Amino acid sequence: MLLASLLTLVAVLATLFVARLCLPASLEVHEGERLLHRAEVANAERARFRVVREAWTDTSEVVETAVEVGKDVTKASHQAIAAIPFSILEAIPGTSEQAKVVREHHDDIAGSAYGAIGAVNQGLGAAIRGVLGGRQSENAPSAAEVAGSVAGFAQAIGRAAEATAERVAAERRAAAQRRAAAESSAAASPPSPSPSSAPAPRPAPRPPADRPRPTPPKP
Amino acid sequence: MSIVLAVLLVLNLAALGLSLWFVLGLRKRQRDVSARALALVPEEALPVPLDEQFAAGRRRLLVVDILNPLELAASQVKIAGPAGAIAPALIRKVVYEQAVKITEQELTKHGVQADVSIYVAG
Repeated sequence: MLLASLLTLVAVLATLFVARLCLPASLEVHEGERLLHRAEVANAERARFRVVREAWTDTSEVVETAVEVGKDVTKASHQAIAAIPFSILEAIPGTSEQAKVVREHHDDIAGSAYGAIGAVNQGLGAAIRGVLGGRQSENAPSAAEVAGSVAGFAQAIGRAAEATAERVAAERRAAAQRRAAAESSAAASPPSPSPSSAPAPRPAPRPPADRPRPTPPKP
Repeated sequence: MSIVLAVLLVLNLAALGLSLWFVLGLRKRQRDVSARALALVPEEALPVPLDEQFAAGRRRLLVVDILNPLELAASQVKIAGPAGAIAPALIRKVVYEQAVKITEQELTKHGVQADVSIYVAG
């Protein structure tokens, strides 16, 4: 009887010991499940973030390409249309020289303007991709290159303005010289009365009967 | 005496069975955790600026402080009313554990993947 009691007591104590060992194991498994759940969800969130960012980056590339194509089409159309009047003006002997100069400035300004548009577009696209994708593309222009293109456009306009101002000043100087030469030649030779120097009689006005009279509007 | 021993033996056998069942459940959970951990493919590392943007902002936690645990326990279980007067700490512990389970279930219903755990203030 005593032996049976002792055995029962030992069995109960052993069971309690096993149960006590199970508790920390249960806590460890629960902690492992919790950490794994966190890792899985964080992984999914990161993947979703990456996918959305890549979609935005692709969209920005499409927009940049569309702007680039539109710029090229506009540039080609512009050059084709502008070449028509320039060709006509260059074919006329009286306007040939001026047309060549104007065409030169026009091509300079247009080329700089389209170059600046392209550089700004590429720079903006690269900046947006850099912000969205966290990386810089290899062939993207730097900010200094974009600023250089815009400055080149401004310089082309400045050069055209300076050339125009110089041309106007030269023409004014030439006109003043011609006026001075005419005045000096007139002062050197005394005036002689001649029939050709007499003022020509004014043409008689046309009779009013020949002109079509405007009819007053009827009320 | 022999009846007492027999009852003790039966209880012991029951406890042993429960422990065995619990251990088997633990082993199964442990195998599941191992399989999920092996199946978890780490996401490719983001570029550093993007990683900084992803992790930007302060971490935010939702804190729930149950103000009436004894009343809650008494409303759910009759015996919890008198027990709360004797062992209020135990009743608070049980209430918070139940609250964790309920919160997890309700958040999962709304598609929220949350890690709900109890923080014991020092």
